[in-house]
Amino acid sequence: MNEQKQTRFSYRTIKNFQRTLLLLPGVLLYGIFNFTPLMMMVPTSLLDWPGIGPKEFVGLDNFKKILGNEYYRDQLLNALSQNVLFFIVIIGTFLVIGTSLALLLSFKTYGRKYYQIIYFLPYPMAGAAVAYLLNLFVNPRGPLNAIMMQFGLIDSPIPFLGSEDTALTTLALFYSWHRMGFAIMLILSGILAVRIDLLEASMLDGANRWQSIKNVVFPVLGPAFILITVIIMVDVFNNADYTLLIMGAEAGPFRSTDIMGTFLYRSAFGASAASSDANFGMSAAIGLITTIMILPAALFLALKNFRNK
Amino acid sequence: MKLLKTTLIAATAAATLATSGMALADTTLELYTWRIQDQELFDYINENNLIPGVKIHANVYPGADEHETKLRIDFQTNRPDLYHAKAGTAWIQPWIDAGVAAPVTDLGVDLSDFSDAALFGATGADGKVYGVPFVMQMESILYNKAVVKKEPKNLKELEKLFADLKKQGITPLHVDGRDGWYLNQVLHEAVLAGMTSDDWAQKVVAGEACFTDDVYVNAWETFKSWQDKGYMNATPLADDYGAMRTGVALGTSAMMIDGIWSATPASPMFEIDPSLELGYMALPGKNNKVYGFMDGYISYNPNSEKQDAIKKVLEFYTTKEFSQLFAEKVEAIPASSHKISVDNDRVNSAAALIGKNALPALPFFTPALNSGEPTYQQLTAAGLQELLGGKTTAKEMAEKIQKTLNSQGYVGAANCAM
Repeated sequence: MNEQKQTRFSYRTIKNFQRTLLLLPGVLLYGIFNFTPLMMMVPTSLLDWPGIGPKEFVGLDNFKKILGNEYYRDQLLNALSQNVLFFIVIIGTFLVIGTSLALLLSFKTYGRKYYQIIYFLPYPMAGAAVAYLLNLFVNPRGPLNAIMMQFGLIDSPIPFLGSEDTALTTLALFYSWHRMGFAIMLILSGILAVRIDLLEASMLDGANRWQSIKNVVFPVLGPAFILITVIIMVDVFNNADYTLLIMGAEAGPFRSTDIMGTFLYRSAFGASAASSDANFGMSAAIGLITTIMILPAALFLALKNFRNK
Repeated sequence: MKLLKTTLIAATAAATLATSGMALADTTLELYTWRIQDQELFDYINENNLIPGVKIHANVYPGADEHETKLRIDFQTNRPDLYHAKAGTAWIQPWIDAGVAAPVTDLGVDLSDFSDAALFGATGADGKVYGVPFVMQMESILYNKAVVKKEPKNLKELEKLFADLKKQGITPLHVDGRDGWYLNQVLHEAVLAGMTSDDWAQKVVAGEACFTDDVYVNAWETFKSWQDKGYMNATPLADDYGAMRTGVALGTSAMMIDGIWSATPASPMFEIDPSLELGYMALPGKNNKVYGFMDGYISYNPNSEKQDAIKKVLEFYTTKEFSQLFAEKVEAIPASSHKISVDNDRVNSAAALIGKNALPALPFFTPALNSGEPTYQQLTAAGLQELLGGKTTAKEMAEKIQKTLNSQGYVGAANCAM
């Protein structure tokens, strides 16, 4: 007797349950390691606390100081404007050089797989190692200056990290070099997703290679560009690994490499010039202000994804 | 069943033995330090059981910043038991305020074998001593002996040597203009010792002399003139501490202003050139003195549960045996006044220079100059960077330092009103 047992739940309920189960580990991990610390910043930002010892509740004083006190406000504005410049250099490099290289890799060039590996190689390297290597590379007595002097391009070494005019851009280029592989792979996957029949149709209509790229490939790459822009924006406004490793918390010369991450770190731990003004509350307040500034970008990405769905 | 019972009895006996063994085991104390050069010393102390019943586990965080950051984080979970502290009230005060530093007198440690000069750096604003000093340092000119054959005796000879070296394509004086800690603690103070005067230095810490005085301004004008004449590395703001030491170790630069720690065997300069020979001398200005100071002391966490073991370690640091071992193993100058026998020319001559030819006042560690924000330490670091970057003159730098200190109620504000 083949009596099929009737289930208590509908197919739709089971499907939703499965989806929830699949999402649960990610949500838990994100909640524990990202969302909870983010929420903890709110109460911490209301304290005056050097990281040890008693905590003093100061209400919104930390925010008032950052936005109202000239000493802190100048630092905030300086760090913020330089962070924007830092971001523009990086994203500009990614979109121009990254797209160019991704396009070259999309052609059926001999050895392109090897090129892909070579371009991607720096990405898995530790930030500290990259900072150390590139610091040596641009040193006044390093290989870059030596080569330029050898070819007669310059008369004396350029102090890439010692000049206010070049230090921030040099650090942004370090970042770009390190993460370029990531941008190339994202853009390349976008290019490879372009339907062949669209390209063939454009060719049949008489378009040359550039016209096909411009009118068929680039419009398809839009989502990849947005994704890269948002990921990089969130990253460069929250992290300052290269600056901290190479220039220290003082972000010299003359704070010309100061960005939000170094400002935040300096507020939490003081700086190398024997500052005793360490306050985790101030640091949390800076973190929250940064979060509020980059939140629109994160929301934009989320909404974009919903729309695509 | 019998077999099971036998096994259980054996397991219980083993557990009992293990427990009694644990009771007899040494207490291990966690110590945080930035001094990688002391590791061999700790290994020796532990291997030879020199502090009965106590082992020291040294956690080295190279670089003063990293050490300080690690302390700030780990004190939240009541670690470590012991830590090496930097000299000066400005460094120890936040830890005192947080309740993680306490006077050594609370443990009954006897400090009678230390001079007032050694204890000064370990003394808080309340006049209490917060650790046992263990190392003296000296800051002066360090030069590569393969490049500089004869020490100049005065500024005229020094500048002639600079000119000769420049002609040979060698950078006469390599300066690290990037690191704040170097600019304020090393460069600024060594120039004070060599090129101002004992009288001025003693008066400025007492508020009876000013940074705008000619003796201070002239010293920095002379220093700046060396840069203008091309006697320094072309891009000091681009060169960090490593670049400076590399230049001197390679012989492409002749001299640098640095601490004697760079001449100890643990210095990375000897990895660049194992045959390197370094000489040292005061900046041969009018005062012609070195900057000698107590650079480190061992402090303790009063909240640790291992106070008895901590006391044993601190007491060991006060002994003649420790001083002798420190001089032998670390090849540095111990801070105590014990008479020890050292067969090391470098240690002996540096100790003699500190004893007989050092600046008698230490502005860098003076509470009166470092109690406000920004501190003297921060002001001098920023001022020197601006001076090297051509953004300010020596006079403007001096005025800025004085003006800022005055605004914080500096003890000499009335004498130095601007």
